[in-house]
Amino acid sequence: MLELNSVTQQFRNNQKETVTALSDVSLKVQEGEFVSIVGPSGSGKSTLLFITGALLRPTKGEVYLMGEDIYAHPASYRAGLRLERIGFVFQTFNLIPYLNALDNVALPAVLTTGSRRKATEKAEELLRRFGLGHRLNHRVSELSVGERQRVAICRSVINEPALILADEPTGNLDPEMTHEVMNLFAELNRNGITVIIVTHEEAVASYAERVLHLRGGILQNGG
Amino acid sequence: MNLQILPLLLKETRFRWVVHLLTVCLIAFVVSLLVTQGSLNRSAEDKVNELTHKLGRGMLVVPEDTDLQQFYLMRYGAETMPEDYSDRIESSHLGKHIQVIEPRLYGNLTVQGMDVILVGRRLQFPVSSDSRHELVVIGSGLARRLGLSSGDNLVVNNHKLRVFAIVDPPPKGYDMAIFAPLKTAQRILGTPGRINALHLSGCWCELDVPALAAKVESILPGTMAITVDGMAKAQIEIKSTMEQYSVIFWIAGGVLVTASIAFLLFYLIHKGRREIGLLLSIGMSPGRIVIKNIIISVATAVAGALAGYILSIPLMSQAGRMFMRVSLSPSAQVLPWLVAVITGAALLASFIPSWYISRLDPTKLLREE
Repeated sequence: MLELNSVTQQFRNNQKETVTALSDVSLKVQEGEFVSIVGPSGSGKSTLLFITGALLRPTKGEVYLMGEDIYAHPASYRAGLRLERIGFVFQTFNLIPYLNALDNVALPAVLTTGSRRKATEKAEELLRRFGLGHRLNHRVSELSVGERQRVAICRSVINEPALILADEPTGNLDPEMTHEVMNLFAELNRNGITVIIVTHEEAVASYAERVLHLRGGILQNGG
Repeated sequence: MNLQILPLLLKETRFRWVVHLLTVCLIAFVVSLLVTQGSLNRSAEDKVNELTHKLGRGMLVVPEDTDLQQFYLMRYGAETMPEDYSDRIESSHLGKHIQVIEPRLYGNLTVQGMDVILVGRRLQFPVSSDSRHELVVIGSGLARRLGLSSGDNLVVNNHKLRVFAIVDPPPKGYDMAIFAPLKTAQRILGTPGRINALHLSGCWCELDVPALAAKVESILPGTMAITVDGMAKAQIEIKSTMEQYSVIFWIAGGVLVTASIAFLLFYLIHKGRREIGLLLSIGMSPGRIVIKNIIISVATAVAGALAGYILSIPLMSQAGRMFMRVSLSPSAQVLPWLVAVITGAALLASFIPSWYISRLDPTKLLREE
């Protein structure tokens, strides 16, 4: 499903020094797996997630998703991949503030299908399934943090992706909400979606079938 | 561009309506000034053409102190010249070039509370059986207002007049005029033996017209001779100067519109950095985001242009009354220029923000707090 081969990522910081965020990372994730990558802040977790999600070209190495070397293809291919095959969930939700819950969830489907009506129907069905049927027309600012994250998860799955990448999805949630959200990921995984979560919390990571540790840009226990 | 994304644009516009409204207002203000200036230019040109057409190949001789601007606005002063100037020019060596010499005395009167123009000229009327009333011809507007018809009497400045005929339609601008024989007009205005205009016409195509005017002025001391040729030259110079200023004015307007749209786009990009990061992360291509921005900039510019054109209607009416003493409306001929300038400005304005978007790194945008 996903394979990273000797991926290295280097940046130039403000002092023009080269910083290595990821060093020779190799990782294989099978279809339908639920993987957590745990590491402290600055360990390169988010960088790894962005590279995996076709958002950031690595300095070295290859990334294969469903057998395709994604960085061997043009940017438009990767954009299509993110739209149709990958779902992102972020710590800060990244919902569009001027859209209501329904429109936020429907947005990727509108881009894919071109039909606002179909996208809205699907978004409504998802939101109801995730217990947000009473919040359809509420703006982001009117939702609780837990509800916002559930809306973000709905958005990530509306195009029925093969892979969900979640960057500290429970970072802003209380323990009760964390439990609820992680159960949602587990449920999505049971429905066949491959889930990769990066987190700094071992407790959150424990919801996954496989836990990997990343320190100083190096994957500790092998991929 | 997927048209289904348009509701997203509308919602974004509604969410940040203040900055959109401010931009539209600024563009509307600039556009209204451009339209007003352009239309005033054109109206001034039309007015000159009309005047030139009126004068044709004639020459107008007036007392040298005459305020020409007021004269053309039909507000006549007290300046006069001797009536026999017409004979003097006829008997001069220039007489052979002049086919028609027409002495006139123009004046402003108030008749029963209404402003009336008196035109004294050489008129031939049948001899009146009633020697107490002098015969005149009046414009149809005056006849209507005073309820007069042919044969009716009226009193002007204690002079008893009888309407010999009504001119319908009257010459342009003479709707409220009384046309009287020169002597009658002189009596009414209290200027016996005086005139304030001498209309000359002839064929002087082969003559040096400015030199001819100078000769006329030397034969008739204390006068100035105005020719179409001189007026046309003066107007061409004025028009050329106005056009130079117009170009500067339009360039300045274009720059201002471009800057305001560019500012709007940069503001939207700045405020919506995380949204752009999100849109890129969910698979919207930078090209689509660029098109979205171009739509915003063109729509804002068009909205501003329309608002500006509408705003220019009262503005022009006011400016026309102030500068040209007529009520003007925006010229439709300005519209193609306006559309070209505004669309160009909008496209130009979105160029740098679009390039900026294409350089944005979504991973950095998504990490921003």
